[in-house]
Amino acid sequence: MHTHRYLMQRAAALGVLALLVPLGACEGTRHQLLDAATPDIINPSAVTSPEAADALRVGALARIRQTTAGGEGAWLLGTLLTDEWRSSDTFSQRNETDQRTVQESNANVQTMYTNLQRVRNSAREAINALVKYKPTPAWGVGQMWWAMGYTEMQLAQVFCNGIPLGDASSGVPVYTTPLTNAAVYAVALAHIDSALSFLGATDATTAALKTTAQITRARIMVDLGQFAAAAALVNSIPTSFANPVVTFSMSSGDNQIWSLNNSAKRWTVGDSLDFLGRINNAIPFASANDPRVPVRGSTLGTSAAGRGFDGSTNLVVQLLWGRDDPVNIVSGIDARLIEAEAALQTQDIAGMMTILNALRSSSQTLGSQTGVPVTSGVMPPLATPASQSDAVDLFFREKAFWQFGRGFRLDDSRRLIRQYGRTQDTVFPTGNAMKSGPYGTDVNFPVTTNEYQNPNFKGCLDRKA
Amino acid sequence: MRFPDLRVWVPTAVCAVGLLAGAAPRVDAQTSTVTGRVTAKENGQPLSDVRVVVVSSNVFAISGVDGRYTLRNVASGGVDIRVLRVGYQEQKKRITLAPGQNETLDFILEQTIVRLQEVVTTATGQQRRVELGNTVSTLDASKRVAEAPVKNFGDLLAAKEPGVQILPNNMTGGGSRVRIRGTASFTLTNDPIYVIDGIRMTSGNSNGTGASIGVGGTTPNRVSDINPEEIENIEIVKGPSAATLYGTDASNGVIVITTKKGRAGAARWSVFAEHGQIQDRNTYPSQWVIFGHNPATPATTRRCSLVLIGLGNCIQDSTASLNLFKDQDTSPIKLGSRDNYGAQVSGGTEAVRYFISTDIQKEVGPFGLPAFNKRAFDSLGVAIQDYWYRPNSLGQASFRGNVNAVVTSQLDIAVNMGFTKIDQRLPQVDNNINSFWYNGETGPGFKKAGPGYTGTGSIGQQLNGYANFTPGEIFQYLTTQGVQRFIGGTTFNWRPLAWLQGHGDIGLDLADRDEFQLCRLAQCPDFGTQRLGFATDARTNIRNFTTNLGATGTWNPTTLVSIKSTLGMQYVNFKSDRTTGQGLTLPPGAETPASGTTPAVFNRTEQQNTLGFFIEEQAAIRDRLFLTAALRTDQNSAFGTNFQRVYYPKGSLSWILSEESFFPKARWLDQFRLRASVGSSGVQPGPVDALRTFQPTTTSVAATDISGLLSQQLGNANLKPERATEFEGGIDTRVLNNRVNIELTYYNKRSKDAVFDLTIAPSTGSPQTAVRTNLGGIQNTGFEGLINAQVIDGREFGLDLTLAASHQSNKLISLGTDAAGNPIPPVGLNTGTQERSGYPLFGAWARPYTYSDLDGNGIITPNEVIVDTTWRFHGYQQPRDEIALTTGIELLGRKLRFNILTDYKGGSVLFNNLEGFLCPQAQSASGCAYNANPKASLADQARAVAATNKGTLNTNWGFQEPLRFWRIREITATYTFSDQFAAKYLRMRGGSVNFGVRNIKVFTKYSGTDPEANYAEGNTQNTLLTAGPPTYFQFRLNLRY
Repeated sequence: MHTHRYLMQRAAALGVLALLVPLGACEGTRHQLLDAATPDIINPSAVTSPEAADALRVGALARIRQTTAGGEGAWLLGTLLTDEWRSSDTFSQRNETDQRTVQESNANVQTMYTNLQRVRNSAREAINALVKYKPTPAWGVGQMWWAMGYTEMQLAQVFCNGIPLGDASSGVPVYTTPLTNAAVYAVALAHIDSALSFLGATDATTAALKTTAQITRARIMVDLGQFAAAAALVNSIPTSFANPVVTFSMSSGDNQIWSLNNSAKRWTVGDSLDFLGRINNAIPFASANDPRVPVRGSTLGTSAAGRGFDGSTNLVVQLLWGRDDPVNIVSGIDARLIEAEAALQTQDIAGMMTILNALRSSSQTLGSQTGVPVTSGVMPPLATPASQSDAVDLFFREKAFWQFGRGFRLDDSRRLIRQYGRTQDTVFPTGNAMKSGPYGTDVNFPVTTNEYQNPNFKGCLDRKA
Repeated sequence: MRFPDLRVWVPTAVCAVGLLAGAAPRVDAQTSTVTGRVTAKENGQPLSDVRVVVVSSNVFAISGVDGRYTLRNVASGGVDIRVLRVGYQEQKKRITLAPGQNETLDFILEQTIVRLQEVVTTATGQQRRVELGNTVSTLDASKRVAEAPVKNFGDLLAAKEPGVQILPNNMTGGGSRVRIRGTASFTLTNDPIYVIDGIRMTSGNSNGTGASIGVGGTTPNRVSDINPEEIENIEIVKGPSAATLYGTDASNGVIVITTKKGRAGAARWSVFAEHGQIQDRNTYPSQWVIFGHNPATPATTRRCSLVLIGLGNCIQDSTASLNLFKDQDTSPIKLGSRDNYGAQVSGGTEAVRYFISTDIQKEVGPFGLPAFNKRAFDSLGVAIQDYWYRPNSLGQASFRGNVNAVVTSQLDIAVNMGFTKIDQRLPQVDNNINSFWYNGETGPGFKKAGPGYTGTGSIGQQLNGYANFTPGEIFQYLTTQGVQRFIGGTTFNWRPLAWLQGHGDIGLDLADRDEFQLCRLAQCPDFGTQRLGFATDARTNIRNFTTNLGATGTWNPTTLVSIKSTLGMQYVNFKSDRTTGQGLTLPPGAETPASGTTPAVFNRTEQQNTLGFFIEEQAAIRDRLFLTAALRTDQNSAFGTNFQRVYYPKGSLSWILSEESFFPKARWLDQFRLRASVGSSGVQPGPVDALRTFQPTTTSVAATDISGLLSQQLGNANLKPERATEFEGGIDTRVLNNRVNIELTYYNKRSKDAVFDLTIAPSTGSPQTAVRTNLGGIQNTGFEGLINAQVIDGREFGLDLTLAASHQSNKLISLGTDAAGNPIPPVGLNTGTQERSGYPLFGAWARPYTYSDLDGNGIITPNEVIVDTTWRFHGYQQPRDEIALTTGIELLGRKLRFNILTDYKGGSVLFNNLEGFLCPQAQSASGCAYNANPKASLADQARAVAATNKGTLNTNWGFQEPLRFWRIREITATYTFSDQFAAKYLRMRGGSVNFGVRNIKVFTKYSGTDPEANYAEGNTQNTLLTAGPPTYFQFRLNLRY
């Protein structure tokens, strides 16, 4: 009797078990139960059309905006290492950059480095898609090759020797060995040449992109010491040429030079002194009263612009660009300065002065405030320097004022060491940094710690200029 | 309000009904009914809430207020009936039942001296504690709420259970952080999951869509929505060995909340009223200044630092200091208040019981408009709005209705529903330019104009010692969060046969969250474009839908062995949708996003579904040896496409050795139990972590906004849940005539396939900095001890002690290897928090230094500090050791009870981020005491110099301070009215008055604001520009009718 009852119970239990099994086995129901809505994401299958290819191109432009005036990239953070900007912030990442003692783990440098590399990847993804889905007009592909080349140039100008140029456009990270700055410039040059090969048409868009690529190529050639060839390349480009490539709006993002300096007050225009005294080698951008760098506020005394974010540093704000005014990535002024430097290199001081004074003799448009152009006005000619050394000083000072805020100053400072035989303590700010002790000796940025995940990377090859 | 997709619901319901229909209802002619009454031995009074269980079956009943119970559908033959109740000794009686016979069986229970919960809730139903192979902590929430200054869920748990660490919230409306047995996941959540009345509950504010408004760091917590007054008890399932059947996501522990239920009998009312005050008694550091001059310009006053003086670059003239938070005119620290009123009624018949509760509370945080700001507004004729006066407040109204119905002798159903409405506002705080803490701590150290400080802000306001903005502008920044929360569910138990029970829960947790931020035109701090006005309105629906179905069969293959088999499924469907409207640049008077000249809309949706099945076999051998084996398998929508299903096994043993004949008998030993369990559980990755995705972007080209696409993440098709396997073993013993209860536990938890954000080197240009990858492993080990002792148990006087202690160790076993077999490099290299194999997760790292005052001038200069170039491990960043001592003293015939809770945390380092941040500002701003106070010790000067003046070798080693502190957490005094007094003078059944103080005093050498200061939700405490928990004083009156 007992055994019979026991067996009946077992059978009933198995019956219940059998009833649950269909629930697990209802394949359709199970799929429905596990199906999760993901409306926020876009799957790769949706990125297979001419429209998607063009959207990837626009995405790459968004990235390049981040690394120029639309983010704290090579233009802003890069030149904080020089005399162009100073930190009026409490963040140690900016303060140590200003002080030329940048740590490998600096989060802002990490972001700058990452964003630059992401431009390369986005451009590569766009090129792959454009070639496959939208090969014409060809300037689209050309623009993306330019974006890669321009970005690689910026990487070499800002970071130490030892920059890997990997890839993730296939969806799988590919690690490469670190390259010297010169090797990176060579890669950039090749990519600009690729761009030019797609920019043979004569329509206005293609022509503007071609000139943009030519000026960029010339800048890279200058970095490689090919001064004469660079000058020849840009000789025919009019001084009035300008291409911001990207613009700004309140909805898509503000000009970050304005945001970080004028609005957030974390940055202040650089000067040759502060309340601790003189900053050696620094150009007095804030106090020079130069029309090419219009400012409001003063470094000493009571600043009309008030105090910086840190509550103690006098704020000096730039007046070249307003909240959503574009900043030229390349311009005809850059072309003239490349020509002037080529003359300087051949010790043709008179030739250099002719070009520099020609620029000063007519009003150049340098920026805009809510669409209203900001110009340099006509400036008196400069006296011809007496020596080659004085000519070098004069040229780079003029260059610094003409190209203020556009990401040139660190490259020029490094070139003064690399190509003109100066030492870092005669080029970069030295003395007692305002925030905390003496300036360091950095002349470039270290590749940051995340790069150690690349098994080929063991740190900067060197920190030379 | 959105409800679950019917396409999902209907099949689930159909399948569920199919399950139940399959087990067709049958009336077993072989069953009987047992009724009876349970009374207390000491006074003969009936005992309610006694759990009466037919041993080795699923049949049970709960006694009503008259002590009566009815057990239906009891199998005929000889059965054991056991009764269990908190505070009384368990009793078991054998009875023989003839088929169809009705029997009566009464019980008289004897009080135990130590009151312990004997029954706990598990994933497969309620079970005797002694049958479990793992420890489960139980908290009598209703008792604690009535006696202690408990204002939210975090307070309920704080310092009460070994191995459960609570980092309390630091302001009204903020959430607490809960960690059980340390930190086990590097990337995924370390929060436990919450189950309330059988259904999954949303816990964090940032579940799913994340917080959409910011106040600098502090965030509300959705656990705080739960009203402690409604909770009967809380059970804490601590690790995977116990949480296996809760499935994927349970490896950080499970907090099981049971709300109060009705008791059969006449309606019984209880009402309470509570009033309290809140004081912020944090030790905020003063701002220091040394006035001096350069040697070459004696006429020009400037700010000096000790370093500049030491280097001869500055000559000191005078010093000053200012503490804005102690100055009556400038301080935003005010007295806060708290009021709470509620009523509950419970009653019903044996067939239908009900519990209804309502509660209203209002709390005003201890912050307010400083006097100087009020004068300034008055002088300008500006009408001060309420939220400028008191920017931090919380209003909460709760309602709960729970009904339990015995539908038939085989079926009972419970319906539990709770609704909460919350309106709170939070000021701008913590690490944030708009924060009043930030602007107060970074002030110059004096009020009027001086070196580096004009005393006047950018909009012409008098700063009075604040850095950039004063509370007057800061409190104009309105941030509110409104929540409407419904948690409801139905639970049924169906016993078609004496040996078979079906069980199910279907429930929904729905949170409707509305977050709003507003700066009206020309209000708020003059930072960025804020004063142009903006409004942000983020509305989020968070939904957790749970279905549990299960069937349990019991049988006795022999007279010595009883077997219980459970088969179950669980489906959890989590979804959150958020839509945010934002408007920038508002016209005068406008306060909605649509009013802005640049409106914008953002959306975010997240969904995650888990479908799990489990089977559990439990064997009770001679009712003293209990063996359990179980297996759960889960599928989850977040798993990678190459990974479909995960299996979690478990096994456990509980052996009441003291009942064995071979066990040595001792008079002093009442019970000795050995327990051990091993089991696995997991933590699931994020909903779309496994996918390769693109995202939209908008950029401006030629002054026109155009849309584009960006690669978003590379994804990982092999992603699977983090899997933790835990062994837990321990002993439970009761000695000295049950006066002392001791529980000792050792655990060893290993996470395998730990999910790390594997950094992708930036040179690849990858759109994401890291990809979620299953790598390496993490180990957590530790000891927990709990001692409950009734030291004195006299008629007039009582003394009881509860000591809970724990020690935990944590180690990252390995980070694993990459696809090429290369070891993954450490994460966070050369930063203050690094992940290295062989060291604890989230360990504190820094470069050590030495110092010496070489010139003997009493000032440490940079050349006198030598910093090691190597980063070294400095310590854990989670307390390893925790001790909590609760002392209860009862006087006046034990009517007056004092309860003192003191706790210790230590064994780790805490980064004093506030001074670590302030010191490097020293030469230009106020800096910290260590480089601007001439009386600063050499050691303090050295740590400031090491953090500030060593360039690329700057190190925070000196600010990573040993964490050791004792805190007097709670002191309460409760007087319980005698029944005679209550009946005669108050015309009620009973009542009590209570006075309590919370967060009374901290004893520590930590030099920061408070060792529990924190605003971070993450895994390391962040002390930067924030505060510790405030002190609550509370008076409460409880009345029962």
